[in-house]
Amino acid sequence: MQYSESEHKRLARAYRFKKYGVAYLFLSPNLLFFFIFLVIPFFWVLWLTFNSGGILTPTKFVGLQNWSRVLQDPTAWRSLLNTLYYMAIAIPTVFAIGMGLALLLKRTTKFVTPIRAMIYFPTLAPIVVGALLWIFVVHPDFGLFNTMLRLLGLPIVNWLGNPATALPTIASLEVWRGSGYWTVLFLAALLALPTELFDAAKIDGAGAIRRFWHLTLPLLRPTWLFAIVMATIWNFQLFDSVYILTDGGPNYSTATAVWYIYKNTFQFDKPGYGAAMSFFLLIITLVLAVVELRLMRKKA
Amino acid sequence: MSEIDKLVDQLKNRKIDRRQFLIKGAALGVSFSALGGILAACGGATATPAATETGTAAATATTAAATETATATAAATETATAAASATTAASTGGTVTIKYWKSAHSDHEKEYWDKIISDFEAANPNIKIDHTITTWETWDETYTAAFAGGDPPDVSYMPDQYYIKFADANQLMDLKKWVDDPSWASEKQAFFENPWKGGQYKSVQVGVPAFSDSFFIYANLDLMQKAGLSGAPATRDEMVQWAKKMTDAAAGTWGYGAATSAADSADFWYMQYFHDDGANFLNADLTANGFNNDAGIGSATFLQSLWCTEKVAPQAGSYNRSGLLDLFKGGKVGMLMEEASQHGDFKTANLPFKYDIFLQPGGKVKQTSFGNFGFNCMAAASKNPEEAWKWIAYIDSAPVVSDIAQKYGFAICRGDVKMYVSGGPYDDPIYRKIQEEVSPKIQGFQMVPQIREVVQDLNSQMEGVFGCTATPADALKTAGDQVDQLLKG
Amino acid sequence: MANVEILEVTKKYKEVTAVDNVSLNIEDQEFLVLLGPSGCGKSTLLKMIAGLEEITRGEIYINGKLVNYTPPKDRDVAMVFQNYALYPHMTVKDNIGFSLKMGRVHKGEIGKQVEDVAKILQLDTFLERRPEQLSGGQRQRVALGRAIVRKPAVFLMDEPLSNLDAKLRIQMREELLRLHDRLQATIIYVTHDQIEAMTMGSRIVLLRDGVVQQIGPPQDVYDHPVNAFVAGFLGSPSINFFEGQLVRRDGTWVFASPAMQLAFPAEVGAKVDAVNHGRLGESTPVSIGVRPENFQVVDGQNARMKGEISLVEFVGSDKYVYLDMPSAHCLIRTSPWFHGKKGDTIGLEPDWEHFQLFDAEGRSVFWWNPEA
Repeated sequence: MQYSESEHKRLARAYRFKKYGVAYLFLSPNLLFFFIFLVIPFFWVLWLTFNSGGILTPTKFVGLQNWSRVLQDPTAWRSLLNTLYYMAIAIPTVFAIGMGLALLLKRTTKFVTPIRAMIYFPTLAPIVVGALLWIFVVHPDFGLFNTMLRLLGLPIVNWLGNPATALPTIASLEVWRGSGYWTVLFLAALLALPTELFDAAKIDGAGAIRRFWHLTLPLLRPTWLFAIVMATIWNFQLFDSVYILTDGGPNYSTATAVWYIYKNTFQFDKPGYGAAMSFFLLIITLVLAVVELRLMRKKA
Repeated sequence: MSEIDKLVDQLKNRKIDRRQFLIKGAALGVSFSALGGILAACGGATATPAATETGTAAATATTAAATETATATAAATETATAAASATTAASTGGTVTIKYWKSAHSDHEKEYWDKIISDFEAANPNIKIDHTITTWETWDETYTAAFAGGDPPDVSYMPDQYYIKFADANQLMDLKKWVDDPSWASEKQAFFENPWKGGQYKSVQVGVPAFSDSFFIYANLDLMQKAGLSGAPATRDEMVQWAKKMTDAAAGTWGYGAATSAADSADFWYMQYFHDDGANFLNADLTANGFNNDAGIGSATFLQSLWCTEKVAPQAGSYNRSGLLDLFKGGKVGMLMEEASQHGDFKTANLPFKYDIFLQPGGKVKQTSFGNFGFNCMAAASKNPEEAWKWIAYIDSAPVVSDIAQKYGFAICRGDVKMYVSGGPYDDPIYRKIQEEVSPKIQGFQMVPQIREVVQDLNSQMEGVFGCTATPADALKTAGDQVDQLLKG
Repeated sequence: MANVEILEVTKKYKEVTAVDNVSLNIEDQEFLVLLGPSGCGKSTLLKMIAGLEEITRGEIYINGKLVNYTPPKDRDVAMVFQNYALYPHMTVKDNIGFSLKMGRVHKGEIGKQVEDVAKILQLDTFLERRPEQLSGGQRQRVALGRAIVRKPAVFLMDEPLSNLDAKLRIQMREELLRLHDRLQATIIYVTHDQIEAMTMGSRIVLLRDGVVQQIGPPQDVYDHPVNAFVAGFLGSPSINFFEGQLVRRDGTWVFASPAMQLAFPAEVGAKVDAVNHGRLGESTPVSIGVRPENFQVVDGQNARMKGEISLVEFVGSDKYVYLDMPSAHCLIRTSPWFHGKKGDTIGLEPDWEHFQLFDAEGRSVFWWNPEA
């Protein structure tokens, strides 16, 4: 060797810097935002959970008081259970509808673009528009749901006014809003599946339904994995439709975790309490997401 | 005028609250994303759960505030001493600038205030008014940031629920020194008692009341006539009888209408009944709930009967506030509890029927209107309190406040001005009734920092009362326990 | 035990005709190769036999039964795909057994049959693996296994070897042929690789733009192409074409071009006369085709064809010699001991036995209908 060990090291460093330096340069704005808007606030929020005091009043260290109060707060529990209940309704429904529409769209050959646009529209519509539209759907007197019930000769329902139906009604709005997104996602995944596999299955004697169960579903596993985890994370954050349509009512039946965090943080001026609850939500979300990932991976 | 313009106009005039604006404002592209971004959006690419981000927003705001609060408070204490010297500086010939912030109540906000300011500056050549029109949309954030940042406006217009957190954080100047000065005694005398007291927080005079808003019953005179009714019901029993007479399932008409959900801030629609019976959110010394008692249960029982046994009001949850307003405008509600400022809307809407207003019949103790007040407040950190006070005294003086209130279509908090008199420039019998009969009876919120949480606790339980799913006793006990727990801290 | 009959089959996609009026009769146990450049319609034809594409016009019979309206699974065919189309989420065992499972065969029976097939294909040690854990050749065998296990009347293979490397391809060719012998099955095999076609097919069907060009045993097609396209498509390196005119000189046919003046020997002239019926007159534009191996290198001085060497490629068993001629190029195959080098001028003499003559439309003159 004509170069010493240390010279090699130095040259290698310089070479690597040249090789990766540009990458870091391009990453740096993103990293900056990541730190400013995620990492630093994360620790701030954590610090906040151990303090009382509002935005205008000085903070005071209170130890685990916020944490223990959240655990003892029946409304906090209620809102968390409501959120889980909501997810149990909304996620399977939106997936079933999204997948169904995607399967239909895959076969559609006419007016493809306008149909896809129509299906995606609810996702793009601002929540206020969605909420307004939904008021017309669930209105007891002239709403779509009750009109259909009347046509079927069934008793009408006070959708948002009844504690038993309010949360499912919110879920229906969120399903309507979300189905476009999932349809497009599933459709993209479906279109990416190799047609040869389905040809092979046709020859192997699998009918449409069995092709769906034995091929489509398992082949879409990566998509499912993404969808389930993301849907969990997103749906844990149910807030705006609740805030606009019911503000948690009637009688806390639509109080959700993020709604309650918002209330405490911004309206009741208890950011420490809101922060503590946010952390509980973070932990629950993480645990659920990890469990889902594990379950899905294991099957692989 | 387009629908959008109307909407903006309504918002500026404070005729719809912020949530209503968000809902109605969809067409404007006023998206919920600001809030959604903070609370709901979990970026598609990052799998970081929401909790972090939700907290993030709070953390950013709070921490910024927390670090700077110390400075602000320090500044505030220093101000007291600094103020004197500043005043001297001003009186020795320098010009003092007073920052004045107010959110708009009109499309012509700037035009109206430019006039007031130029009049004031002409009379006070050493004071310049730096006027900023803030937006209601971002009111909380804007003012919180300004106060927490140590550079607040000298004078701000703050509605009662809005000022409270600033008052509680000692961010507002005690105005006693000026309001109790003998030279101002006759002015002080002119204010109605309730709004005046509304400007006191923990024995500190944090504001001088300017405008009031109130709730009372709009009555459809056509429906009343058909039912053979006239005047106003004198008792609650009579009110129920009236409502029954005007309720007609076949015609789709209802005797009574009121918002019942927390989302619509139902407290404005029911609290006056509590007040009238001697109940309130809190007890007199603000140490415990003031509704889980015979008075409160009595009011709640009466209210529940309207929805659940007499069935003279549309089922709770079937119509929200704007739905009820549409129903009323369509001539389908006999008596609608609504805000004073709706009158302007009704006037421009050219309703196909005549209407009048009256207060709900009094309860066991009194007859009140639940409303709120807007105050002119001075920042504790103001460097020129004397000049700031001059400005407050000016804009709260009878000629100024009454003129601008008439332009806004508001009622004022002082009784020495005859507004909306017949033949006058703002002749309107209903506004006159509001000013003369309702405004003196306005009772507002009790001022504790936890008030919004108290309201939330009670509203949630009252939803069960209106929805006929809870007994008044159970509901008020639940809410009462929560409130007591909350106040204990 | 199956024959397949294709009768005047046409496939149209909107304006494009992918398969144009094709008729074929595939005998029982035949190894028929559908050959042609990409886009010639060979895969479409295969898919129509499989039932994966609808037939626009015409009829397909399997074992004498019209199958136009029979779904793929009931046609008693199995298909091997170019990308194998293995189910990625299933083990080798499940892949092979899938069709049996779909046919509601008893579980134990499936296991037995899968193992039998796996043994034939030497896959028995890989049964629990997933496709991603297999090499290309193993995947190929799984794909075959999946077809074999069904014991179909007809195997349809769509370029099954094209994703393998050269060495493996040769090995699999041999295995496929052995399998064909063993299964005694009818195989319809699609490829664009003429060597595969010639080595494997009992007959070749050469397609171009959806139209059948020629059907026949590989050597027949190679030696007696019906047209210039067929002549050019088969053979590697491909046949040399020379453009020129056919003239009659001193009672013999002479091919005249800037590169050469080539008088035909008497027997070739007689062959031309036999089909001519006056169609080849004075100065008819024609082209001649001579395969690279059908040249003899002769002394450059007196040769009728002369060229200057521009490149010599050594490929082991042969040397490919590229020649520049006046307004023509030519590639010849010589023995590896050929000594010529770049810049040398050499003479050539075509092998008249394998000499091809095409008319202006590219049709082989020797295939002209002598009666017409």
